[in-house]
Amino acid sequence: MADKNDYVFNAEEAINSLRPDTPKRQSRVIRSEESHETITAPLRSETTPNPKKSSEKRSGKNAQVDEYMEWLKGKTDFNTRAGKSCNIRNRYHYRIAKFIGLLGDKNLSISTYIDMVLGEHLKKYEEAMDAVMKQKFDEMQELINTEK
Amino acid sequence: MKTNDVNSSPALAESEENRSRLKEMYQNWLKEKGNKEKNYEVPYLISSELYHAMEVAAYALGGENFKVEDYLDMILENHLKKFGNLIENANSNK
Repeated sequence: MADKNDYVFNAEEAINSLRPDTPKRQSRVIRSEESHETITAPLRSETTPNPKKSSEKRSGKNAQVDEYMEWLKGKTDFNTRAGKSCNIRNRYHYRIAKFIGLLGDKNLSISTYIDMVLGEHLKKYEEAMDAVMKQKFDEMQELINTEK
Repeated sequence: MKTNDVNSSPALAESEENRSRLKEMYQNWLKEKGNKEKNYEVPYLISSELYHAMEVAAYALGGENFKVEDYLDMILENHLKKFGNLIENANSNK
């Protein structure tokens, strides 16, 4: 039991160990002395579209649209040759294609858009995912212990 | 260092909130789309780093039956629900 309490799960370290080639992300670590728990908190991007904040600064939907456009400007292309194929619904494909057409940015492709949305989601929910993964890991560990 | 300060920090509260939001998002997706036919027909390339992160997260969230494409479907649905109408309406009003 003492071993279990001493265990410190750090998903970021686990991910970095699987991908040694990629640059390591910066993060701050909060350590709770009582529970021996380590929580890794990512450094937040300033470009994240946040409708609540934008509505506080500038009222109206146009402010949200402006902020969303700003976020899209920060797009980064990725190496498609090293990419993985993933299928999406036809309905979403048409909607995103229409959406990108409305934006009128010729350099923004659907792949880049999906990649950005996905990256944004993973950044936002990184900590939550760490916690869910830890929970899953603990459940599996418990299952293994009971089987023994 | 006082442990109480860490436990009640805003970062921890936000993490808790995000965790419950993520689970709620998954439950909603499961209720609306989980049992229906999944027509993922259009292939796109996404960066492998994000793909692997999504793979792990999908397994942790929904187990073996929740695949990467399901997870991407859930994310796109939420994003389009949140921002899709906003942009489309803004453009139609011009």
